[in-house]
Amino acid sequence: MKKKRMIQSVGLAVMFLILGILFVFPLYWTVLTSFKTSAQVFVEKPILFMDTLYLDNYIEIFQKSHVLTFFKNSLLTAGGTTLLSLLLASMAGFGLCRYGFKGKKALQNSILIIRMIPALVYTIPYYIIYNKMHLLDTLTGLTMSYISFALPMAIWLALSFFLDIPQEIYESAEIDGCSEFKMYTRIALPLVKAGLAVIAILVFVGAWNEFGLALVLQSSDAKKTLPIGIASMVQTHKDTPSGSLAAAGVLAMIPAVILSMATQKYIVKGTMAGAVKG
Amino acid sequence: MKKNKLMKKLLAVVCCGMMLTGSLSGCGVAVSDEAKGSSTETENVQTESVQAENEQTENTESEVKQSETIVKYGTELANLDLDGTLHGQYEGQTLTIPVMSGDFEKAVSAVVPVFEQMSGAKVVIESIPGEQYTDKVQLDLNNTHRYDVVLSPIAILHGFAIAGKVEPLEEMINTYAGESYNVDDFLPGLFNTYGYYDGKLVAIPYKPDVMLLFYRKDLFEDESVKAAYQEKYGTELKVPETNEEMIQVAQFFTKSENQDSPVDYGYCAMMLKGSTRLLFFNRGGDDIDENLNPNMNNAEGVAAMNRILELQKSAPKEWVQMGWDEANQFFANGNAAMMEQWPGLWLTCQADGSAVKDKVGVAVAPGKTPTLGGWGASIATESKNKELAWKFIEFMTSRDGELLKIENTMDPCRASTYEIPEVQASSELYEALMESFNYAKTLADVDVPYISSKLCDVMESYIQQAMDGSMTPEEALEGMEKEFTTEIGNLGLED
Repeated sequence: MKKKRMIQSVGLAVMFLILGILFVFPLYWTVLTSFKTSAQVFVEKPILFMDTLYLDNYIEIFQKSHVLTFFKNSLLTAGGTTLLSLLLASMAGFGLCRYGFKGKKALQNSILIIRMIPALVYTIPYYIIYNKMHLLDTLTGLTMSYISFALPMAIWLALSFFLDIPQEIYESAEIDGCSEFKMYTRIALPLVKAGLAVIAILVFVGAWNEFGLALVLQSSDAKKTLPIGIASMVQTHKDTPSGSLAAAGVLAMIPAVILSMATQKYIVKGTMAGAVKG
Repeated sequence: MKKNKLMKKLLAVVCCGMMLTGSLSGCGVAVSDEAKGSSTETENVQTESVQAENEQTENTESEVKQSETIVKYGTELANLDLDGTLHGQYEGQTLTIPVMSGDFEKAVSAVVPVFEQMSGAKVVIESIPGEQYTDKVQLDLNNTHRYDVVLSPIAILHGFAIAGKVEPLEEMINTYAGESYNVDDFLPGLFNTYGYYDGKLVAIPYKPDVMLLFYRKDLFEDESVKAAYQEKYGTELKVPETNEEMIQVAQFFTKSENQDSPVDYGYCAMMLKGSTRLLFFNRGGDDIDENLNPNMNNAEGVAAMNRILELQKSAPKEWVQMGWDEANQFFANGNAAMMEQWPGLWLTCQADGSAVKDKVGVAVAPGKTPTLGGWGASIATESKNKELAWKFIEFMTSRDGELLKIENTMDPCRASTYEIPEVQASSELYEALMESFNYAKTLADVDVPYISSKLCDVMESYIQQAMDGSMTPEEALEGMEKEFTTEIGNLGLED
């Protein structure tokens, strides 16, 4: 019995090790490449370990491209999208959870349907509308479009988290004379904190990595986001600057990694929420 | 308390990062000599630009005076006002120009301050990543009409012309160009192929591109290698000029054919990402004639296909998986004696760490039918500033304008520019480049509006099938011709 368990444990450990390598190795390779010189990147025998880390690529992206501006723009749009989406989604989710009204189901389903339409379909209409509204090449316009894409998913997640709160809690609060707004801010929101962290991560990462809309809506270097900035480093009929791309990629990872690590506790709670009813 | 926890987590992230970095090296962090050089260069550029900015704050009169005495490649740029047709009269007008990120952005941005100074106009440059460039330009030309000047690969530009998205330029030249703007000075093949489409002048050549032969100069000049070649073939080893010579030299330098070859392969090329048709053109094949009829299923086409199959024997087996980076690196690592490529390969060969640095020569692609690439400049039909847009194109493509763009890898399009000794000396490619332009006729992208990329895919598919042996060259060409006829017929261009 013990032997069987040990074999199982070893088997699992090996499987996790393989999976771990599969996930971690590309990250390791990216970080490693970012510290290589251009002569070290394309060699017949790949360099897996290095004696000296060269900062050339980091120096290059800071000196020769507007990477800090792109980083700042990404942070502003992804941050703004996350905050506003959280606010709107939590309000909408709370409303849909608490109030019954005619057409509620249809409204909920229509939010879901919007989510199913590929973002690419909206891109050209956004471009034309934004051109008329003078919102092209503005961070406000980009943030607005990101919010509109993030909201359906955020509302559905928020709704499911609010539905997990036992009805009795709302009823006790009502008996104690709590207004609906206070019920939202003082009772419901603290109880779905973990869920909100999950929504925040998903929305932030989605906006942080978004490429297609930013490509079409932004044009000047002062308003471009990091994914567009990174894509701009690749030129046709010229060698791909793999080292610089890796360095920019490492920079791009940092906020998402920090956010994930800082809210790890909530993510576990949030993803578990709703798993057990009652 | 909560703040402490957050701080702990942040600390944990930083520690993880440091551990990762530590595990990556276990020792030092450094800046390579190469980067030190470029950083000094950047500092110099920055200092220069600060100086330029400071100078710009001085009065307009002295600025103009100063710009009149710009010297590039030993030539004084004395006609930056385009024969007096630019004198600040466009003040208040704005031009919006899309450019591809990278060298195009740098080259166009470099002329903008001078043009703004001379014309009084404001120029807004919008840089777009290369892969998405054409899509975004097309989006604007169809919908929002913000762009005034269109810089684009020639075949794409010709498609825009057929769709009426860019303006015919003859009238513009006749009405607005300075008297010394000489279109006859453009390399003739280049101006006719790039500029004219459907009988109208729709573009001015901006960046020429042609496929070249890169060869290992050190091997071709090696006495023992030359003697071995002489012994084997009874002729002198020289840089091949004909297809037959090329195939023979490639065989000689291939280890599987010649054990004593100093390199593994005689030939390599990038074959991934739609590049096989370039090899077909280089070997004498064609795609369409001037009436947009398929022109590949003929004796020249069959010969070109057979030459490809012969060269394949002297190339690495994995060449069909080689894209730009892989193929260039393969050559730069010293694995092949010859490679046909766009001029950009030169930078890879001369880069630090290249095994062939200072060992590479450049020549016209053997057979003298090199594939022609390149970019042109046009005016968007919907532009509200057409006159100003023309003046910008005229400025960029004038004799003086050409000298302003060269240092950003935009090679000259004018014969007179190539004649300047300092320009000739600035690049080891120019001699072969200029000669190649005289021979090149077939554009890299099939020059049929709307379906250019589709027809390129058709060619790629059939050539690759012939290369992997699933079709004979004749069958491949016949299939290609049939699909071309159907696709072009479906366009209904005659209507």
